[in-house]
Amino acid sequence: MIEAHALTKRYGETLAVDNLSFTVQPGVVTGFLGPNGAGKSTTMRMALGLDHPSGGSVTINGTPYGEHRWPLREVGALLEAKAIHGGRSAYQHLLCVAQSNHLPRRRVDEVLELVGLTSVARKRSKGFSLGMGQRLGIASALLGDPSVLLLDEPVNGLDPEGILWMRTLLRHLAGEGRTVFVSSHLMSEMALTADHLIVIGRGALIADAPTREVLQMSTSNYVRVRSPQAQALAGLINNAGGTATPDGDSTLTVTGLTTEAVGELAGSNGVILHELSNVEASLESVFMQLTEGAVDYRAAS
Amino acid sequence: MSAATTTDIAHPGGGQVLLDVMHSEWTKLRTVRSTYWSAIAAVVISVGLGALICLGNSTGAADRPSDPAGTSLAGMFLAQVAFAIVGVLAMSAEYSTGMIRTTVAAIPQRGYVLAGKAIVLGIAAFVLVTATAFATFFVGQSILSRRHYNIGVGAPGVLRVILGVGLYTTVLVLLALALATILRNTAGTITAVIGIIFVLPIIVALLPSRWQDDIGRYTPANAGAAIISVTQQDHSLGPWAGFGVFCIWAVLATAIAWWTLRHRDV
Repeated sequence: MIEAHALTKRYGETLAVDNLSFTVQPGVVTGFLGPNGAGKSTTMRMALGLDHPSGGSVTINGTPYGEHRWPLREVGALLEAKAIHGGRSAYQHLLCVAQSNHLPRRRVDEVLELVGLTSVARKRSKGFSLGMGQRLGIASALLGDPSVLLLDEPVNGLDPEGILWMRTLLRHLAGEGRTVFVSSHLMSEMALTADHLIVIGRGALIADAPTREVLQMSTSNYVRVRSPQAQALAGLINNAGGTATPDGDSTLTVTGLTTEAVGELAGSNGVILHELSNVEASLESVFMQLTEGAVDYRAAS
Repeated sequence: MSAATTTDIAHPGGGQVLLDVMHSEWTKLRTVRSTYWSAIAAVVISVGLGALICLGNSTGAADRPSDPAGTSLAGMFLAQVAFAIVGVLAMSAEYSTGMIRTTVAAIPQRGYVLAGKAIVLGIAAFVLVTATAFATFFVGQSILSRRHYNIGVGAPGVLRVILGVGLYTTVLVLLALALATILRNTAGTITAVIGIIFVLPIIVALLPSRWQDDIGRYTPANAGAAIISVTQQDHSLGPWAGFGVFCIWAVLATAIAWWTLRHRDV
């Protein structure tokens, strides 16, 4: 279990993490979502004792990280892809990490096997692809067979096969009763992987709820319609009580009417349709709504 | 979930933690190429340059060198930089590669990281440097012996100088480790080390002689040099007093390094 209490991190004038409190439960995958720069990595680094909080506290299994001895036996972490000396082989890297926590050498072979790096174990990790680097990071996190895992953007740089592998692994680890805390800025990925979501923006908590509930927080289910007579159709829709918003030359985004109503309206008025579909809010759009105003650097458009 | 934890005690003492860190740091030291390149460079420079200088002192019209032991060990003057680089990289490479985050996550009591590195580096450096110093001395003396300019290892001060090279260079490596921990940057730390070894003594030499007694002989390189000269130089401390002052500098730097490592974010 991971517990944050009023966790705060200030860099000069900037408030990176703002009075954040949450609990990460064992047995489920908890997604930690936020736009880039929201404070996810900083929060994780504080949980791992790498950064010192400006205020508040965070504990793992009831103890601040810094008070754990041989912490790898309790907590495994995947940090940003580059927390590895590229001059060492995967085996040598894992060996020195294992030795630091008095873990037996055979664990190195076991985790290499587990992440599928056995065949390249003797190669210097400098030449690894991003995906192989992530697998090596996962291997390092699993060395001590920990009950708590903190993974910062684990699917970054993975190919589709690797993403599926990671998703399966995370669910498997949670299924074994472990606490699995995974940060990501990819909402769609978390919708598939996480049972519970903690959403932050500008360092502050926005949502802390089961994934299904977060999805329902959206108000933006809409009808998408494409027609060569979009302008005429927009008038009809607005007269019928709906709201049509143009999205490009020939596409309308319709709220307030069902697909059936839009289709019948078009048919009875002889308007040609090229597309008519119901669009359910994606986690992405929910996320955009939730974090609106909480993004530091929005592209000016 | 118990494969790794069944046989081991749950709460190791500080001594056990330190031993584990040393084990890990020894693996780190011997698994990067830079360690071997720097060590090979240091040995080649020391023995090779020493041999060349001895050759120059025993051919043609060369007179007997006033300090045959010092002459044969002259290459160490340059080789110390290569040894110091091993100390720098032991910590600065952790920062440049990001490995420091893995290291500190594995050993959150950060003082142990610095202590473990220092002990492993200290032992490795002392063994290698002292062996190199003996090899350099004997190769040099065998060349000087062509003109019978050579000196025995039993001559006054000679053994102390050879062991002194080992001691001085070991402390220099530890000073380099401490500076790298403070500066967290390879190029910056190497520059600082070269500044301390080579530039500071030049500046000191330009000071009025009264200042040299008051300040100059206490600077790191000048103090440290006392133990590696057979005869005591002007404006210099005695061999062991000088070495003691040099050690104080290293301890001071290590204390600052320890404090910064504990208090900074990584």
